[in-house]
Formats: sequence, structure tokens, C-alpha cells
Amino acid sequence: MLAEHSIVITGVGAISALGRNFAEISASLLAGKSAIRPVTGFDASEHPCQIAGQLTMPECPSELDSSSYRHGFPLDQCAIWCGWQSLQDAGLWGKHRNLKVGLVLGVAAEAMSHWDTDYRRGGALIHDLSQSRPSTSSFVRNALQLRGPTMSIAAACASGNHALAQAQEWIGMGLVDICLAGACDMGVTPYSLASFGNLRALSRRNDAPAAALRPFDRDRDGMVLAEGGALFVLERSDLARARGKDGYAELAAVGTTSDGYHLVIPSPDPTYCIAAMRQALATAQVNPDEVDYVNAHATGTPVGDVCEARALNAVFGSYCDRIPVSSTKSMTGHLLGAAAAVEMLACLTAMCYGAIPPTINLEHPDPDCRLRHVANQAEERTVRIAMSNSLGFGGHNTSLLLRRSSERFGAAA
Amino acid sequence: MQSAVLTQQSGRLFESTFNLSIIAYGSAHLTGPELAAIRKKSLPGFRTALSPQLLRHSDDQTLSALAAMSTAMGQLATTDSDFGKWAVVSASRNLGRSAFAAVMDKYRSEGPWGVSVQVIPHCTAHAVAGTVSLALHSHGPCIGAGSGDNGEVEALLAAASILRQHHWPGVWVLFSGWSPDLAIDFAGQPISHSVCAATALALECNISPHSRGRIHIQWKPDSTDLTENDPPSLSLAEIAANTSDGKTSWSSSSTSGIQIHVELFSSPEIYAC
Repeated sequence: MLAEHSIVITGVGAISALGRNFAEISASLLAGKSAIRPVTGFDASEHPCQIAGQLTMPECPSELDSSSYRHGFPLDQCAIWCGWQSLQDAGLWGKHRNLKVGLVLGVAAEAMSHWDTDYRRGGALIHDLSQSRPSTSSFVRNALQLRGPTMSIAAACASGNHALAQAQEWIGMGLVDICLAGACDMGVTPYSLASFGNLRALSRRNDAPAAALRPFDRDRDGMVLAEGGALFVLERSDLARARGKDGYAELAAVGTTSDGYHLVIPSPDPTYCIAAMRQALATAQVNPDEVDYVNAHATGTPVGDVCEARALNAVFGSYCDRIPVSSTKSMTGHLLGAAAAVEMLACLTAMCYGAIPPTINLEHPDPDCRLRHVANQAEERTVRIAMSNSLGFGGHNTSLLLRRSSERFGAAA
Repeated sequence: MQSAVLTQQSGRLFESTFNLSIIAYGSAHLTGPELAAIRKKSLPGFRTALSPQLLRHSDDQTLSALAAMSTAMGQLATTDSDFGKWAVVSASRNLGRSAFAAVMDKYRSEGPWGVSVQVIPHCTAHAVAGTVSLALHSHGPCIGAGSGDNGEVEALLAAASILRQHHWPGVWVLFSGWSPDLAIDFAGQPISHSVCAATALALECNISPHSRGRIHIQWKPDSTDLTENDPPSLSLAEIAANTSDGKTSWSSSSTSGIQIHVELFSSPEIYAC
């Protein structure tokens, strides 16, 4: 049963190389499809990693001003697309202009994305101080005619969960009536591919793109970059119910900590990763044995996956043998700043469709990552409470808990 | 003391103001040579020195923020203040522009193998907060907030939201930017004589009689006004150096009915919430 004034998710807008909306992405996730392909759009032949989950943005939706959308950079377009779709899904499109709708947008490297896009279009934004450009959150605010405050938030791969935590507080404070929150990232650029590649963080299985990203597998060799995003409509449960919406799920809690260890290297000490998960469980008043599914951060790097597996074992103890865990990055690729938002979507997929998306390419589970894996095929299961971990470069630990809206899915439970 | 004021809306009580206490603040205005010197020395106030290797790759705005924090920590009553449970929020303007221009230049001439692995950790929007959390050994959330002209408001709203969760006793908020904006050549080298400015604010929710200032966040719950006032003439990164005459204040432009007012005192002052 949801608390009277809990915050619920009533709209989902998303796009990735796996699909252009919640239903398409869910179908791909449950079918175990990979979004990873050879890189196009620039010459990647000299890069150590030449594969990614790239996105081509669709044409402007007819409800929006096409010239504004066309002038936007891909990151702007991605966020506009997700925001528009989310408001549509929530039944608020059009009505939203009379409400104080805020936007908290997680983005990992917004300025770099804009400088790079501009340069590739022949511009010199990075050098020319006379040119100014609105932030993506301002761009989206204008394009969608939002009347509430906006915020960009950056915490590497954990940006989306931080954005959702902020939005939850904004609604609680009465700063907004409704909040769009989530994250978008268009991070497959020559520079990010080169920088992460030179860091040896990326897989080099260029000849087998779909098999490259192998979280928790003994033979994993790194992550694969991808693009896209997801924005969710968050609102108070009582107000949502008053307009006939139960919502997909309650945003029950977001636990946040940082390692304070290193800007790149994951801490070998899982103390603060554990603390983030425990904070989320305590805030939501959920016992570890009540969790039905964990969407792991697991990027397919040798160190990170082991560290997260250890943290999960510490938090869930003996329940770890029966709580299903998967890493949907094996299919989506690593969406960097948008990863947390798209992985929250994967949790909603599990709740709405009664099946858990798998970790694909998990042929030889690493004995150091002892978990109850959902390997290679989706698993039918009723998911009432789901946890999504997002652990960013630089030691940003976040753990999000969703509780299914029993009113909406009560019959299936 | 309760820091929130409530108003009635839709049959529920809502906060319409949120007050934060500034327990310390500091500022830095550093030229190129001064920034270069900071890369090689330890700043006072931090329990452990950051490695020169880390500082070698840090953005100038990160160094300026660390210097501002060092000054702020000098204001604190105890020398062994523990910020292990604090959060960090940073708002920078054009962070990493110089380094990224250099990366683009190098990619043109040398291809992907010439791209530094340091550019992403040190030049993305969370880099200042991340480096500060290393310096403090802090384990609260650390985030970059705000990417445009409204960065100050976004960062202060982020700090207020974090403190409202009651998981963390305080938040360091760092503002940084170049004054005037740094002009660079195609290799990313500076070609203007700009100063890197930063302000550090140590914020708590509880109102203390020994506060060094306060922040008043006010909003109209029913406002859907799209108009925005002119932005303030000085950024928060530049303002803290001007408190020598006793008190200085800064007000944000009004956006979506939200306005933030910051007051800084040159010495601890007792004030009513």
C-alpha cells in the first residue's frame, strides 16, 4: 500500500538504441537484444574501441515547434523527446502549461557535448566568447513551455539518480506541482571514445559488438558507450489519484554517498556503496528480503563488477542467493550520465511486464561475482520492490528503490 | 530551530521559504601564475594534502575552489573540523573549456591516441565537487549543479534539497568561473589576462548564533510566471571578496517565482531567522 503522499511515477519518456519509447525499449530488454553496433558518424578505425550503442534522433513530434527542435543539439533533442513523451504518457500534455512543472535533468558532460557538436557542425563555440547558448535544461524548458524551475545535475554515471532524488525533494517542498526528472546523454563522441578507450575502460571486442559487453562474466573486458535517456513524470500520489492515475510505481527512496577515494579508480572498499543501499532501504522502510530484483550498475569492468557484487552480498547477506540480479547495460550499453535513468526504466519494465530483463553474454559467471544472476534470458517474476544501483566514476554511489503501485497492478500480484 | 516556513496550498501545508546558515565562507581570485603555484603546494586547512599528480590535471576552477575553501576553513572555530559526512555541490562556468580545446586540437593532429585520459574526470561538471570530496574525505553526495547563467540558483537549490533529506549535517557549495571569461587560442592556451574566481560556502540547516551569513530561498507555490528578471551584475563566485565593509549581499534573478537572497558578514553575527 502506498503512503498517502508518496511520490509516484505517472509518465515515462525514453529513447535509446533499443527503442523510441518505454514499450519498445521494454520489448527489446525482455527479448535480450543488444544495441551495440560498429560506430558510425565519425571515423573510429584508429580507436581502441570501435563499437557503441549510438542513437539517431527522430524527427520533431508534430505537437512541438519544429524549428526549435531542429536548432537544438542532439542532447537537447533527446531531452525534449523524453520530456514530451513523458508528459504525454502521464496524460498531462497541454494541461502542463497551467501547472508548475519543474525539470531536473541529469547530464554528465553537457558542455563537452555541445562544444563537440558545434565543432562538428563547423562552429567555434568553444573559442568564441561572443556566442552564448542556453543550457539543455533551459532549452527544454522553452521547447516544452514548462513553468517551473529547472536544474542540470552532474554526478557522472549516477547523475540520473541524483536528479530523481532532487525532484522528490522539490515536490515535497512544494517548489513544483509536478517534476520531470531523469537523465540524457549523447556521449559517443570521438573524444569520449578516445579518452575512455585510452583509459582501457572500454571493451575491445570490435569484431563481435553484440557480445562485447559482458557484466559479471569471467571474460569481460570493459564497457561500451551508448546514447539516449529517460525522463519521468513525478507527482504526489494523492494528486495523481485525484486525476485517475495510480502511477507505474512509487519512487520510494534514493540513497546517495560518495567514496572520497579517487576520481576514476573504483574504491576497493565497498563501505560507501553499501551505505548508499542501506540508506535507501532504511528511508523506504524496506527489509533486504523484501527486494524482488536488483538492477546492478555492473559496467563489465574487471574491478567494478566485483566490488558491486561484494557490496550486494554485504547488504543482502544470505538473501543474495535468491534475489535476482541483472545488468541491463549488457544490452543497452553504458549510457554514462543517462545510465541511471534508463536502468530505472528497466525496473519499471520488470514491474509492468512481470519479467526481469537479463544480463546477456553471461556465459561464464565470474566466481568473484557470486549473485543470483538472471543470465541471458528474461525471467518471469512478480516484482513489487526493485533496487537500481548507479555508481559513477569518481565514487558517486546511488541506490534507488521503487515500490510497485499495488493499485495499478494489484490483480497480477 | 526550524528552518522552513509553511503556507497553505491545496489543503496541505507547504514550505514557501527555506533558510540556510552559512557557517564559513571564503573566496579566491587567482591569476595564471598563482594557479600554477597552487598546483605545487599544500593548501592550509585540509587534513591531508592532495597529490601533486591529481592537482597537475585539475582544472584551474577546481584549484580556485580549493583555495576558496582553504580560506573558509580558516574561519571555523576548530582546526580539526570533520567534514566526513558532508555533501559537496559545485557550480562552475565553462569548466574544462581550455583543456577540451586542447583535446580537440590534439585529436586533429595525433588522432585518438593523443587524447588524455584525464579530460573526462577533471573537466566534466562534477569534477570540482569530486576533487573537493577527495580533499575533505567526505562521503556525502557530491554533485555538479547548474550549467548555464542560472548556475548559482541551481546549486543552492540542490544544497537545500540535500539538507532537507536530513542524512547529511552540512553542504559545501562552490561557485567558480573566470572574470572576465577566459579567451583561448586553438590549442586551448589562455590569451586573456583573466582571473579565476571562486567562492566557497559551508552551509548548515540549523541557524547558529555564530553564523557568517545566511541564505533565504523563497518561492510562490502558485506561481507559473515565465518572466525572469535581469541577472545580478556580479556572480557569486566574485562576490565574497567584497565583505570587508561589514556585510555584502547578493540576490538572484526571480525565476519561476523563486528568489534566493545571500547575505555574508565580515564577522560572526547574531541574527534572527
